[in-house]
Amino acid sequence: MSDEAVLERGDAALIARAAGGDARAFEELVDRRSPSLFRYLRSLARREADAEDALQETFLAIWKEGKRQRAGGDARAWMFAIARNALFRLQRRRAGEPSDFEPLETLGSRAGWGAEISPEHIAARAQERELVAAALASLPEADRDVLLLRDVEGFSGEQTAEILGLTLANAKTRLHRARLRLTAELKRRIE
Amino acid sequence: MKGERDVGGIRCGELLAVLSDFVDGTIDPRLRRRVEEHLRGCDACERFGGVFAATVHALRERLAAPDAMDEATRQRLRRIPGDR
Repeated sequence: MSDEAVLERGDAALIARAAGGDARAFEELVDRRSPSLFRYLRSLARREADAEDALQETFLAIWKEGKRQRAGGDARAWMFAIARNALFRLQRRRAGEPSDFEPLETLGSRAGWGAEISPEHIAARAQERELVAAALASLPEADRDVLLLRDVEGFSGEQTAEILGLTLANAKTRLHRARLRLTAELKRRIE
Repeated sequence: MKGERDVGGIRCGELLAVLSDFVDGTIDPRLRRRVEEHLRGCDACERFGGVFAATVHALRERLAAPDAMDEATRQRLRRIPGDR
């Protein structure tokens, strides 16, 4: 079993114990999962204060609602879904709608598809953390959301779809378009 | 795309549509073979595929390190059970 799989099984056990009033289990859950939840919220919210408030709401909900985490369910995905909902509730707005009306070829062209590009140069610069972070931050919220969950946090396609409340097919479409927009944004910043 | 071609039984536009599935390894094996053949025979798609894959790789490898979180924030979270 992978390290992450062991951690995820541990998450479910800690949530169950916290739901029974075990404060030590809750503290362990905070230590274990608050850094990645904060990273997700901060990248999604743009404003650090919103991320901190949403993080507080998330763990408050986990403490109060832990009994609702069903046995055998995906505990980590459940926590990220709570965090996402907490942030959007806090911001008093719905998640951005996917801008799927643009033809794929248009998105691809902006990203350099069919153009004379220098792949080595772009690929090399794309490995610079600050550049990637800045390009990601400039994307619409719906794009950042799916990229953060699938590529940064490493959720599977199915888990990502569950957190976003989408079908797997729709989540994959949103992911692909978001990746193309990120590629275009990186290209624009590098050239 | 100008000069779109059919290589390996798949057109450039069709390849663009399945690039994420290809990079993620979730593509149908038969389609994967056609994509690989197309990439070997189409310079433009091979170049773009490389940039696209590098972008996904950068997200996974460069941004995946947890952000430093303020210790005061962590402690405030840990105190939630006692606050209620």
